[in-house]
Amino acid sequence: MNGHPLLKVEDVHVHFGGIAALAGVNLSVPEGLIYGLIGPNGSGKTTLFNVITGFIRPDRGHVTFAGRRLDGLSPDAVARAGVCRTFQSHRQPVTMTVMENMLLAAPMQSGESLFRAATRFAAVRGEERGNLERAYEILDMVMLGDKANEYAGSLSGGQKKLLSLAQALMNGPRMILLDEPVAGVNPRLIEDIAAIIRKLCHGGQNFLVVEHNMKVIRSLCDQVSVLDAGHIIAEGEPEEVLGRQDVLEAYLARSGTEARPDAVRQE
Amino acid sequence: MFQVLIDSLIRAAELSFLAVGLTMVYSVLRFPNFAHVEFATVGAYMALLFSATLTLPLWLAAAVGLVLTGILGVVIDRAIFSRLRRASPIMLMIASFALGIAMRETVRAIWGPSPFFYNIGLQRPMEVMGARITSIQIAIIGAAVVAMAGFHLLLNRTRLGIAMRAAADNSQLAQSSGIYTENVIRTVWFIGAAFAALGGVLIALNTQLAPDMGFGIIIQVFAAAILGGVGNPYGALLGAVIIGLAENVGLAINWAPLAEFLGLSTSGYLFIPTGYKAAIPFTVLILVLLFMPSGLTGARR
Amino acid sequence: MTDFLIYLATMVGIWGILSLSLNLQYGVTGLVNLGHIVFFMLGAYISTIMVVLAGWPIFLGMAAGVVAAAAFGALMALPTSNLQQDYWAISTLAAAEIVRLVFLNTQLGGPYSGAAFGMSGIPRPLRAYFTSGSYDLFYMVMVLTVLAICLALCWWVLATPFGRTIKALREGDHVPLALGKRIATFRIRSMALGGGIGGLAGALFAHYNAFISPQYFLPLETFIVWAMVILGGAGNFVGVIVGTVIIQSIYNSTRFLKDFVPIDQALLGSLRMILIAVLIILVILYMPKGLIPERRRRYERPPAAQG
Repeated sequence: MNGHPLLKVEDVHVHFGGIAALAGVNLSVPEGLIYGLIGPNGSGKTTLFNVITGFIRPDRGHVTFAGRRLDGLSPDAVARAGVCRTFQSHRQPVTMTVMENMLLAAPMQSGESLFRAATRFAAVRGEERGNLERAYEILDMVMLGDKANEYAGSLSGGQKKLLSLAQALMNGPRMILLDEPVAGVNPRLIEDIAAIIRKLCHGGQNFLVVEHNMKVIRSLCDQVSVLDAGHIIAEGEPEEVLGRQDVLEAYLARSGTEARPDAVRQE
Repeated sequence: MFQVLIDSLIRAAELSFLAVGLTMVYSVLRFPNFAHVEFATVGAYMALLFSATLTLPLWLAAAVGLVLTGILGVVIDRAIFSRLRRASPIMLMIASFALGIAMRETVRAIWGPSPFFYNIGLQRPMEVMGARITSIQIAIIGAAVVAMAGFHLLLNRTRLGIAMRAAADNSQLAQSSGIYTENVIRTVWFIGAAFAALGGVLIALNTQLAPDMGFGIIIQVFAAAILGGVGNPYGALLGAVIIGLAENVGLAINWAPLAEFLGLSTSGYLFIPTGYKAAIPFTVLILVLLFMPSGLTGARR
Repeated sequence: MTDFLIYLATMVGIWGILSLSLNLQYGVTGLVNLGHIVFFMLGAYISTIMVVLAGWPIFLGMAAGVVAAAAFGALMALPTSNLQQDYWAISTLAAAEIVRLVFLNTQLGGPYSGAAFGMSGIPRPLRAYFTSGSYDLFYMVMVLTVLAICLALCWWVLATPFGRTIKALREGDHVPLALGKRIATFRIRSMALGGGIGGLAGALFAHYNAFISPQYFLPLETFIVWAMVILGGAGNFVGVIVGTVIIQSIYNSTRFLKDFVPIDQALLGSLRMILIAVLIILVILYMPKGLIPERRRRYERPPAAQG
């Protein structure tokens, strides 16, 4: 690994009832990469996301981000520490417009205090205007510029994925955790989403990505780790890792052939 | 003290009929039905109607009232709640609140606001171990035991009962695996409403009939159901006993030693004023929700 | 007839303020508060106690009522993050009833005051400056002015980043949490704000009616407020005022009808409640967004970001 890891997960254990969902996971994500986290269904990827972002408290182990302990923090505190996540299923407020969703995501808004909104009227107004401009820039980049005033509920599945990416960008975190950014998205849009993520990474944005689409993983990720039954069983460059026999077997054992990493899924 | 136990037991018997039905409907349909207690009122008044106008014997009038209230439950589900299966629980809650008002005010419009009594004559209490208890009250406790035993058999020995438990444990799974979920829902409504009606008849026997007799104990019933863990009929039974005890024992206890332990000065006696009797189950409910939201038995989550 | 309309408009004003406050809590923030009447009750009682028993000036007493109701709102919001929505809703019903039981069992200012006797002789503000005929008109204008101010306040709140965040909370905690929002404090502030506005309505009611008793604050009254919000359109502040006009017209029609229809008052009282309840069930079944659904807030592209 080059340099200091930005995100470090050490010996994380999580149990649900008597079942170990994560059994001593270690992960080191360096700065400046798109890092992939893959594994068969039920291997604990989303659980690990939940641990990193504070939605689940680990039974044991540490999570460190940029030298700061994240474990024990509440989800909102983790977000304020610079780690913003998206969700596998669409959870954006659907009765709010795309733009309202975007403005919601802006960090540290002084207008979130009614007192300041009332007393520093001009400052809050200027801040809103700045956020609005930035939100339009981001929406244009993710091809949602002309949907700004549509309800989020009226977007297609792929557009909702883009909106959650845009929201995360608007939040301005140092690292974005994407939970299945292209699942259920039509193939044309998948290419676009992957291109956007790559472009953002070149611009210095760090990503940790959970994804089942191996084609996307191969083309997108600089490094991957493979999670199986709560353990990391392999890590390295995607081509090398996905060619390994034990990784193949893990997939064969758990998900059947269609999700094998060497099979290119057509969606 | 024995008197307090007897009173608690009677209260528990009355509450249990409502709490058991509420907990079943709650867990199968995933919303708190605020109209549930009104089935008690409707059932009690129906029994009055049949015993007074048709001059049926009270037990027969009550039985007819039970069945009709059960059917009313099914009809209400068809007419209102079946159309809201996909609506948010909030809308179901509000709809049930509105329904409860409509039912209660209909009773009030028909029978008027003044209380009624069943024509059972004056009950002369017996002395049992220093406690005074009427034969009606013994019958209430007996009816509760018999009905709960029957309910236990239904849950465990019949296909329908097993389906009901499955639906309560996991509504979505039951929906995807069983064609009889709507059937189960109907049965749950029928049994829930009929049980509540029986509870209403027993309350009326013990005290009186009034349009507010059901709504007056809504918090007690919810407290019993939640205390027992929503979806767990046995838990609801236990919850009813605890609420019954808390109400009566809470009033009978001299709290002075506790208050003095907490550093408050008392004159040696500190009783909860009777006016606050209703506050006891409310407080129990809030404490349970704050510290034990899945109930004593941990049925939910 | 004119007297009736002035009375009705005053009631619409008072209950309109109350429905605005529930709309802030439920329509915007998504908090299912089934004990909303508690704010009305606290505003009425605390203001009355401060003015009648402690001798405060009326408007200062009203302010105390507002503060007490806001504080209770904040208190009610504390367990929201640990409780499922339905459980919290049930506990709000219980909380409001506990407060009512306290007032029902507490004597205030003498053996025949407070408790079940209620409190009478509550002074009416600026009464000395008006004739008895014109005072009701004055009070109506005052109440409607306060309603307009509260409406403007609610609109402004909704337009702030604070309003946007509480609106997001309506659809669940996950996204606001992932975006770094301290959701508990938003809920507390929303409940306190709604509570304070509800308390204001209660204080205005007490000093208009000159008499209050625990009978005025039954759970049924909470349902009336809900009916106004559901009928008018949750989330739309103008909508809930329209809902208030309709529900209050039905609710107070008995006062008016009794002169024309020879029907028993108690029966009429039940019939109007049945009418309101059935109306609400029909709205939920066939028009779940209410008469005037929530408005979409548009954000036009600023000139700088054009192209």
